[in-house]
Amino acid sequence: MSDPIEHEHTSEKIEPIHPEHAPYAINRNRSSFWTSNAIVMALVIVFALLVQLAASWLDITLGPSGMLAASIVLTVIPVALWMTAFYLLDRDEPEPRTYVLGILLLGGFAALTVGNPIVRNLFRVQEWIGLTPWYVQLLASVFIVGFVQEYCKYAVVRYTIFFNREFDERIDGIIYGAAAGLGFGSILAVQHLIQAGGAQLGVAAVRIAITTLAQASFGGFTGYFIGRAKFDNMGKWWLPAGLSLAALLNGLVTWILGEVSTQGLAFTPLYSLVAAGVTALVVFTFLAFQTGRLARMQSL
Amino acid sequence: MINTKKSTGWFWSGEEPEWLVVITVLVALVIGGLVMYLATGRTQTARVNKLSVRYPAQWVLPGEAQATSLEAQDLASQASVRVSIVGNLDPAAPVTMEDLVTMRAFELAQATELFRVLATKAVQVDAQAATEISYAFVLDSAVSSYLNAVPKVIRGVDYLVPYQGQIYLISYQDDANSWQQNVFEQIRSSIKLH
Repeated sequence: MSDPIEHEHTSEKIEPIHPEHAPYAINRNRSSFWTSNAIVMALVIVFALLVQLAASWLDITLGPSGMLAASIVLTVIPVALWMTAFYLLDRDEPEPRTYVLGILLLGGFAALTVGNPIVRNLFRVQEWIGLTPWYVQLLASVFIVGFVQEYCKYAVVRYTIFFNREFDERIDGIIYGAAAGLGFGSILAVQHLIQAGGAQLGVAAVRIAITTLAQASFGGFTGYFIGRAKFDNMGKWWLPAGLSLAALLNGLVTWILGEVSTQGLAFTPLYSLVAAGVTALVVFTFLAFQTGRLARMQSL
Repeated sequence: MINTKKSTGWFWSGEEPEWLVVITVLVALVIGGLVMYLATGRTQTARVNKLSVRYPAQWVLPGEAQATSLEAQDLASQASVRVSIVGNLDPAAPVTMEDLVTMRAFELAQATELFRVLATKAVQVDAQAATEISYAFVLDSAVSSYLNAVPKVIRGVDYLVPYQGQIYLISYQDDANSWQQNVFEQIRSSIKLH
């Protein structure tokens, strides 16, 4: 019976393009990154639940100005958690924190200046998507929301850090993609809350957690394709296919997140939080598995 | 030192030419535009003076559209949206939002049965300060106690929006047991002040 790893090795050619790229340098499946990522995801969910619990006791509802201030504070916390956990735990060969922070800020900037304006002002999705049948909602989620958001994150990584010498491992695509997604999601969450004209504090915390978790996952997924494109000969359709898959994932999950929390008059954002947590878990487990598989294949 | 893989010609040539990505995104957005075109064809716009609101195209107008009011209704459910001008702002006789809320609640209490105001709050409607009134009442359409219609609890959300000297009312009502939150949210977010 043949070794399954050997079988995989024969079915898919994974060869570094540049001989000077020592396999160990581009292959490492940095376990500390996955650990820190899992811890941050759990902390973000716990944080949102704690804020909701506290808010339900105190019955705090915020107006537009209060919501702006609270949104900024609540949004900074997942970002700070991610950055802190990442640098406390990722000691193997951490990415320069200025670069990671820079990509995170660029992700937020892309959401503010390109992503949200195209979706909300050009396509005006918010004005018609809910008035249409479910399949039209799904198509719009994928082809408008998914593609615009994922291309923004893709562009942030692909046109900047991709060409930098610090982008020297496949997993860097995932790290920088997740950072871009986190920044993108943070701004998206704040804008959503401001546009809603205020909300209960607990609902706001849950919504921020949902958006940041989901967007960081989508960003990591997009980044996986970018990371492999840099170091493996994947063919000319690899990146378009990867971006399309990420847009499909984004659109599908965005649609599901909107559906699961609303049943008639009952609005239960916790269902969406669970769905976002599961999405993040599935996506990052898949990415960890893929990265580990590549590392094993090339170490043979 | 590790060299970067693509330094020149990465957009037009190379193993993963970037132009293919850009084309893919453009094609997706064209499809998205087509979806938008088809979807917005399934909605109608109600316009009352300087305010417009979008609603599903299959909804009907039970009455004649007037210059100051318009109502659209879903025949398959109890959902309806009504847009009207309820008054003019007179600098000589200023009214507060609280006065307007009280007047609206009084009007609804007279026109419906078992009317209850659930909540009122200050909100923004298309970047304009407004007041939201959530309420519920019982709708008993039966004219005889032997008819088969069960009284229904109707939930409503009204927005009172002072804008350019006039007070606009946007009223959304639906059966509380089959409340369509996404339809309500879309109608609310489609409100535009021109």
